[in-house]
This record gives sequence, C-alpha cells and structure tokens, in this order.
Amino acid sequence: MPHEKPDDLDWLAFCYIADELSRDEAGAFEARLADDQQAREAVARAVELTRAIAAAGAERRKRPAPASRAAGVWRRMGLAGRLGRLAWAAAAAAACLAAVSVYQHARDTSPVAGTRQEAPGEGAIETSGSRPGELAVVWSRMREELAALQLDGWAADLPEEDEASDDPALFPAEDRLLAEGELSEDLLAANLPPSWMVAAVRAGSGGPGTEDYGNSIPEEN
Amino acid sequence: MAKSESITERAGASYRADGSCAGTTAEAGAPSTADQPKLDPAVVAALYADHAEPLRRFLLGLLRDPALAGDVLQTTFTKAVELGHTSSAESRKAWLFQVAYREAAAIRRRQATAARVTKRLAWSQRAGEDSADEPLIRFETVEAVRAALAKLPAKQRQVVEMRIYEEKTFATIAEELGIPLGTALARMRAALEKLRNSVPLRDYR
Repeated sequence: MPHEKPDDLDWLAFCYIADELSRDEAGAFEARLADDQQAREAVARAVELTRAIAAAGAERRKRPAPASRAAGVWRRMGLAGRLGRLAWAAAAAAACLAAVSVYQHARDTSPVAGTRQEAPGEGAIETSGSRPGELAVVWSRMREELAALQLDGWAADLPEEDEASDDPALFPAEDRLLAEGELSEDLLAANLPPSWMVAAVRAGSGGPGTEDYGNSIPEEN
Repeated sequence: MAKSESITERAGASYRADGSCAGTTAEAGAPSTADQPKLDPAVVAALYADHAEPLRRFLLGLLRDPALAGDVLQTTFTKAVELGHTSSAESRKAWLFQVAYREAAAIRRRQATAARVTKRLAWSQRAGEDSADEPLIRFETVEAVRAALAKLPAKQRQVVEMRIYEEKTFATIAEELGIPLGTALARMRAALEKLRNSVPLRDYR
C-alpha cells in the first residue's frame, strides 16, 4: 500500500487486534506483518492505546463518583440483608428520639408558645402551641429527611398504621380538621407519628401513662 | 519454558538459513555466521531495554495471551543472544520483530489457536491484571488517556466506551445507537486518532 497514510495503518492495526477484520482481511494483514515493520509497530501501538483506554476505564470504575459511592452503600446494604437494614433502622430510631429530645428541650425553654424557635442542628421549628401538632411537624420532617437519604425499603420497616398512636386526645387539631373535612383519614394515618414516639413525648412531659421510676428507687440510709 | 526450548532448538538453523530474514548480513563471500562473534551481553541488554515492551505489545496483538507473549519475548531474546550478530546494527530492531513474528506464528500454527484467539476478546480488558514484570502500560499513559477521553465529543466517547469497556462489536454498537455501521466506525476512528495524538505513546521509530 504505497499511498497508505499512517492513520490508515493504525486503524487497520486496531481493527486487527479488535477482531473486527474478516478472516481474509486478518490473514492478509498477518501476512503483511511478516515483512512490514511499520505494520508491526502499528500493532504494538494499537495494543498500547487499547490497553491504556481499558486501564483508564478500570480505574474509573474503581473510583466511583460520590453519588455512586452512596448508591454502592445501599447496594451493599441490600446484600447484607435484613440484618443490615435493621441496624440502619435502629440508628434512624435513635436519631428520631434525639429529635424528640431536641423538640422537648426547645419547647421547655421557649418563653412563649407559638413562637418560632431554632433547635440545635435543625432548621427552625414552627410551634403552634399544640404539642401534638408540634410532634407531627417533627415526625413529618424526620420522615422527609429519611426519604431524602434514599433509605430504600427502610420506610417499609417503619411502624405501620396499626402501630401508630391512635389516641384522639393527643390530636385535637387533627380531630377538628377531620370534622371540617380539611384532612382525610388516609392522609392523617399516613402522617401519624408512631406510638413509641408518642410514648417518648409522654414520658418526657410526665403525661398520662408516665411512670415515675425515680420515686420507686429506695432511698439509701 | 519447555516450548521455548523446542522453538529455540528448531529455529536456530532456520533463522541461520533464512536469507529473507531482514537485516541478515550473510552475503556471498562473507564469512560464515558461525565464525562471527556473538553479540555482547551488554548489547543484548540494551536491545531488551529499548525494544522489549513494543515487542511484547506486538506479540500480545498477535497471540492475545500475555503469558504466551511473554514466552515468545524470551525466546526472541534468546535468539538475539545466539543469532543477533547475523543482523546489522541498523536493522536489528526489525530483525527482532521478525523473529518474534515467526515464533508467534509457529505457536499459533502448532496450537491451532486462531479459532480460540478470535473468541478471546477479554485480553484487552485485563489491563489491570498484568504482572509486575509485564509493564505494558505506563501510569502516565493511562492518566493521559483518561484526560483525553474526557475531552472527546460525547458521541465519540460513547462508541469508545461501548467498544472497549462493554466489548460490543461495531455492528452491535451501530444497532443499539441506531446509526449506520460506517458512522460508528468513523466515530471510533476519529476518537482513536485524537487519543493517539494526545497520549505519549512509546517511541516506535
């Protein structure tokens, strides 16, 4: 090929090592390799370039982007099975309880109910003067944040409707909204905080059902 | 390396008698190659330093098997020790490639690997599995390729990734992208040219 450009030879060499040539074409090229030093070196160049591209891709796959690293965490969670999910659920529950504590602290130190307060590490919490309403806000925000964390499948492990508190006395505002038709039963059920969170709030406030374990401890002499 | 020994034993006579071997200095009236001194070990070592890696890649392109390529490379330099003096210094590089080609061709014929080889595309994907004594690709080359890949037009990069990373044929790529085969080939070719021009490949002069 007297008028062949170097690029043509490099392309031919790439097609050869990539097995993109027909049997006849490959045979002809191999016959050429017997005597053509430029063709031999084109093969060596094609191998070097192809393997460098493959190596660059392999390293890129070993170093996933931050977003895909997060996805990898969840994939590994899926592989770890339910045990791993339970561990995450426990951690999330602890975070919920911490949020409740923050909420209670903010409420107890609030000079006037119904004002806007800043909780440590949180955005502003709008209190309405109704404790169940405030609790619902905290719970709703917690669910949104968990959803934002893409805890796929985690929500399925949350207490179901029957586990949520159905104490009507805790939710007077909701009762009123239900009566006025501004809130559906389904929407309310979906946003009820679970019973354990309600119990935690009750325990912290000394409300009904609260046990005063402190009084049961025998005094030392 | 049993096969190398057998190749060496057989090939010694064939290379000596093969007048078509590029760079042969045997001429009418010239002293027999058996009478010429063999190459100095330092010269062979320098040849190895200069040409071993391009030779290894060339052999990999022919054999598609790193282990076989390594074996033939060793055989080639064994021949350089024994018969390298039969070639002129100017043509010694071509002589080495010639020996390597013939050794590889002999292996392929003996083992009837041609059919097997065409199915073994994965060889090009195992860049990370090269052993320490087979430094086929330099780190800076990989880094340069990575940077050059990022600068490719998206359509060209897509074809490169589908061909190299996903091991798809150009026919499959064209079908999946809904483009003519010629377009897929043209994108790949353009991408390779850009990569080759922006990457410090070894000096093959």
